[in-house]
Amino acid sequence: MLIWIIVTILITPWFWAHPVPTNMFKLDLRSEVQQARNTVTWERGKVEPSRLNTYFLNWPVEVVNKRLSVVMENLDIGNYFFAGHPRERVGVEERQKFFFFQFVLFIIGFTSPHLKKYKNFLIIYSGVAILAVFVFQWRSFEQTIPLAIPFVVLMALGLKQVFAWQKKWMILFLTFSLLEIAAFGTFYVKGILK
Amino acid sequence: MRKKILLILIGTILFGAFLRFYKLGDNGMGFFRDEAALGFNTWSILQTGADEYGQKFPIIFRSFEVFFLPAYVYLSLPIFLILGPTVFATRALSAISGILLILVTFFVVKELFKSEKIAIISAILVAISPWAIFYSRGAFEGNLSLLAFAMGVYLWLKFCGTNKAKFFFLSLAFFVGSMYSYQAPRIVAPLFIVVSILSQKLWWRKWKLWVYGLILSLIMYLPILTITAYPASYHRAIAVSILSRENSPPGYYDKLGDWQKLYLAPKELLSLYLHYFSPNNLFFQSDYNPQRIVEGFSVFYLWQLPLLIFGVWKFIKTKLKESKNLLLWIFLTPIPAALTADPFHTYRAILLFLPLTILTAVGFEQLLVWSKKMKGFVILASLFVLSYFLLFYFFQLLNFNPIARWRDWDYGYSELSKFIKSQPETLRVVIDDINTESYIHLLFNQVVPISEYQAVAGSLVGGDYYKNPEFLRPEKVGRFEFRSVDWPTERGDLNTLFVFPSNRLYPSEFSGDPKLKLEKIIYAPSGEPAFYLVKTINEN
Repeated sequence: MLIWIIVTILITPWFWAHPVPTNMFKLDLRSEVQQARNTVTWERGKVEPSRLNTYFLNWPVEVVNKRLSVVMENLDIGNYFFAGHPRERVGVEERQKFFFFQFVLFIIGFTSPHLKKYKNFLIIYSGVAILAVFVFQWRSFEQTIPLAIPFVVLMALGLKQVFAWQKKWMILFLTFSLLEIAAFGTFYVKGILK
Repeated sequence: MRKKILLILIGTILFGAFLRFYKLGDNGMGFFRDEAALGFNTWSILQTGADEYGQKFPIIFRSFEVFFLPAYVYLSLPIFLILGPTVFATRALSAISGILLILVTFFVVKELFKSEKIAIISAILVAISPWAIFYSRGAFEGNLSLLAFAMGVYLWLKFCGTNKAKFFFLSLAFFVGSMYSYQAPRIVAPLFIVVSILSQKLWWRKWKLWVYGLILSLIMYLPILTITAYPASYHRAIAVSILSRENSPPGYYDKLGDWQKLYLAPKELLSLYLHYFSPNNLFFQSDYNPQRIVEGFSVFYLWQLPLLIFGVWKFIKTKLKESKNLLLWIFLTPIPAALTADPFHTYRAILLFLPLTILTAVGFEQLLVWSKKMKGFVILASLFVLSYFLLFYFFQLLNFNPIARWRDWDYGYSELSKFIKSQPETLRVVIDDINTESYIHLLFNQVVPISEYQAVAGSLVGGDYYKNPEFLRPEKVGRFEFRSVDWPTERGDLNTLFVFPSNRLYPSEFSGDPKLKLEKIIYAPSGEPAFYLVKTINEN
């Protein structure tokens, strides 16, 4: 399995850019709560005064929602395979993290008979990673690199499956993958030259 | 059906009806122009037998520069006959469709999973789901098409289960009915039927039945087929399609040439398609269009996310006889929406949300299985969470949305119409409207006489009603004008009431001028001015 994981890492654009995470564990709860309070004051000033305002428009809900929005954007497939398209985010540099053929590998990975062996690790790791995203609000290309691990494991499982396919299907898939890497390389090189 | 289930179903339908009809005629946000177009054309057909252009009983309705399918208008006729041209009457058919959808969902799920428990949970979830409530509380013809489509699926499942031809033909009738209601099923329904047939074992043995079905469908669809060659039939689909778009796909690099489109265009299409399955969109971020947003909510409640995951897991594990039909429903329905360049258009993908809701119900049933000993607690806790979120949703929909979304919902035209009606009939009225679409509100509120508008609009369109999708609308009908105002040159016009949306003119542009009088300010629910009504004072 290790070899498949290494191959997957080697073909992943996310790692090509050598992302070095910064500001991973920064927390400023005080200013966050203050911001939430300001928003809530503005919202309450707009709606008719009512007892319900306390239940539905309050700063804890505001703080949780802000953090949830970061978690949810990290659950968006577009952020990983399509450089944020069609809904590019504001305040974050959008970059392609995986190739599209890796999405196919990711799906195939779920059907792998070896998945059982890694199931607990994947569930627990993903849960912890999502919790960390919720707490520390990781958004950028570099900050979210820990989230790549479950993807890489599943893609490695997928890749292993592909190599167990009939030769003609395997060649077809690999050709498609190489073409995508070549196309990406062209854009990438042109981008650097530009 | 067990008595307990029947009672819960009746209760769910009644509760669903309350959620859909409560303040239906006045949601606080306004009455959108597309709704007004549906409502006015229904009223116009009822009064004159013709639409706003004077076209007798159109097959497809021309509205602004787009065309909409006719079922919603024709099925609303009895409602308008009883209630007259009101906002409530316009939205009533959509609300009724939403209520009937609760019942149809119950039968679809019962047929699919052979479980009354999952069926009743699905019905409850449809009754309270944000997407189902939102699209039932506005005049959305897509909601009617969803009902017809779901009914078609139910009968299709009956046909697959019993092999009785009557279910097959009835199913086709409903599928064709959905194609008369909204654009998306025109792609999805034929695809669903064809793929479902082709996926059957030895499908060719029933070739006679398929041929009869095809003939029946073509006969039912004949009215639209007669105008297939005209833009009215395809203009809307072409206009919003990603294939007809002029700009290049994202990532296009000018110096590399057009070959890269071979890679980038399918990639873009895939990203748009997969976007409809993104948890971020389905459970948090919602539609890109502010008109279709309820602040803080998406198409599903956030608590439904784990249930959907459980549901998908359970669905994969369970070998269902008709699971392929549910899969087809899920994977085909986002296609029309994905073919347009707009990100996450919840309305175009409305057919998708019902099967996902059903999977959520499967997930909830699984949760009950897992929590055998704590079943009562799980149900109680669920009821508490559900009540909180439902109340929160309605709080946002009725209290906060009017403040945040009034401009997206054309707020203020009803009050404006009342004011104009109270003015002398010789007064010239000019509405500053860059889109020139505000006329429909004045028609709906019976400020502009139907016959007068039909005469002018009809003469402009002539025989090109279905043929020419270009701008063929009058900007002036009698004493009413709907267009962009050139204020510096027009401010001296006598005996004129100018109506300005507050974002089109600063008060400093008319205050202090003795020849102008600010007759009225129409305020939005947020307390900001929505319209300034400025009258020029006659020198005499």
